[in-house]
Amino acid sequence: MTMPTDSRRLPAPDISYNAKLFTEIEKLSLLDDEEKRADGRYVTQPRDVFLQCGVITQAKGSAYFEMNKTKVICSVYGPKDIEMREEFQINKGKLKCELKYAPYSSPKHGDHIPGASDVEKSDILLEAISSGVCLQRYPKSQIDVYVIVLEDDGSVMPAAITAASVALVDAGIEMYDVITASSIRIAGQDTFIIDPTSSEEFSPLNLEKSNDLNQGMVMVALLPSINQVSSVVSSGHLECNVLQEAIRSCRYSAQNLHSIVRKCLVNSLKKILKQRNTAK
Amino acid sequence: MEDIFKHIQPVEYYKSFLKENIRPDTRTLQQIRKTTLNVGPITTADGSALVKIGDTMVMCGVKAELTQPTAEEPKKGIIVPNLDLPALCSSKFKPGPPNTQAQVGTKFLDNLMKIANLVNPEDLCIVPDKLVWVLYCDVTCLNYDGCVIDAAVIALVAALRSVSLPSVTLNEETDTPVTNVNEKTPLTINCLPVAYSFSFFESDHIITDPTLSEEDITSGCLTIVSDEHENLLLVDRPGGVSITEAQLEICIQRSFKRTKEVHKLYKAVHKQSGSNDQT
Repeated sequence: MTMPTDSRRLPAPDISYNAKLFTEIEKLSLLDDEEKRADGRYVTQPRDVFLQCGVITQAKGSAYFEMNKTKVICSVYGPKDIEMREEFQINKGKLKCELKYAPYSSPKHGDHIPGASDVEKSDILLEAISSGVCLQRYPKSQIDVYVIVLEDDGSVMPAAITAASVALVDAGIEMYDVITASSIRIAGQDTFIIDPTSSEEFSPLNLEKSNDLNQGMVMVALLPSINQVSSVVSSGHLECNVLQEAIRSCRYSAQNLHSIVRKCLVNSLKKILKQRNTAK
Repeated sequence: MEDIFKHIQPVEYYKSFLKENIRPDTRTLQQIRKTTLNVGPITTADGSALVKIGDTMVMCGVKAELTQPTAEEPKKGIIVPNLDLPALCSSKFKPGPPNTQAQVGTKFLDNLMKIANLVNPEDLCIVPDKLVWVLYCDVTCLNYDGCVIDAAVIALVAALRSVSLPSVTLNEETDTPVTNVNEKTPLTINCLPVAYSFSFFESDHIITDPTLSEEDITSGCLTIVSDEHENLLLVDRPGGVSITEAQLEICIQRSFKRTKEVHKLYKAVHKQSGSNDQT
């Protein structure tokens, strides 16, 4: 598949292959005999996270979110005048999201030109955080949210959504609530794997042969204080009751992130207040 | 009050500090901001480095992949540097294709790699005319606060130094590569360049390591790249106010000093990560 030549970048080879494709990769199973995953976690155990806001000084608000190896950075600019006159709305502001993968974030070197999946992910991000922002407070204005995925080890969308909502709060944008998100991999109607890594994420290519056709992924974005769901994205083949159970588990997992998000924001505020007091 | 003065009359605001030989962020005219280097934060990349010079933050990721060499150079591997200034790092940049500054920065890194022969493309050849390595060196700016090129060069060199390529052979019957991930050889880096940027305020003052607000009000940036043996590799002076030879000489001497300091950083980081010193 040849990509259109990008005249603004240096010429690169059309096709290149990751060297690891040519090794004998041992097939790992999702769970071993002790019901533990490849990184030693249990099915219901999410990864350890690190969240910090105010990392990008040039932006109005920013956040850096790490879920073990998955690393996501987000910055927020605005509210500012809307750029395109056609999108001018008198009664409410406009939220614009862009999610990008750094070229070194995945095992295969990424394209610089955003593909369809990048645009789709930006849309999912927009839908997930729109419900939390009080856009009617910013008429005729635009708020820009930019997310770059520095390293992809699964659960990128939940990380991006949580980071984006923390960055919005850091920027002082009025919101109904923060938005936390979580994803789950379903591998059979009894196996729900919370916070999958990239090797555990659902891929239509490596379906395990079993009689149970329930294989898929569900992601839920939640406004935790008011317990309202802002976005549900599911892929794969899931029976109705399995899907409902998965959404419930995701909600519970996203709810647990709330305390971490609150702690991070409160600490950041304490730091700002301390700096102001010492400046006086 | 101070913020209003800074906004309305940025030049006068700055001049009031220069009179006392100091800058608004309390640095002297020659002082550099704190530089930190972190190697290997990205595990999906073959080599990576995060550099912070004050608030300017730059991440470099190097990915090595296999490809066919070009017809013109069948025995040489391919190195593709790229500097990305995304909309995330500053309100100056809009999302979309690379703007002029990013393109100029990419070309700068490309020229530097060729002049310094940072990585010899012939080292990247596996089977002439059939299989070579291609090194994608992507530098992403995460926070734009002046001297991005300086940070980009440090990140690029540190990331390349941490790359170890697995041994690859070509299976002659099937014509497909065979990789052995257990046998890795570190990449040979022939030179450790360090870039140092200056800007000039009204031809009188030499401002070392300008922040973004300083870059905006001063005219003309001068970037000097030198290596550890006090060899001048690249002097970049794209227009700006005229300076004297003596001023240029001062900048060159300062850049040699800076190169030695950054080298201590390169060595300290590599001692910790346990890889062998290349030069």
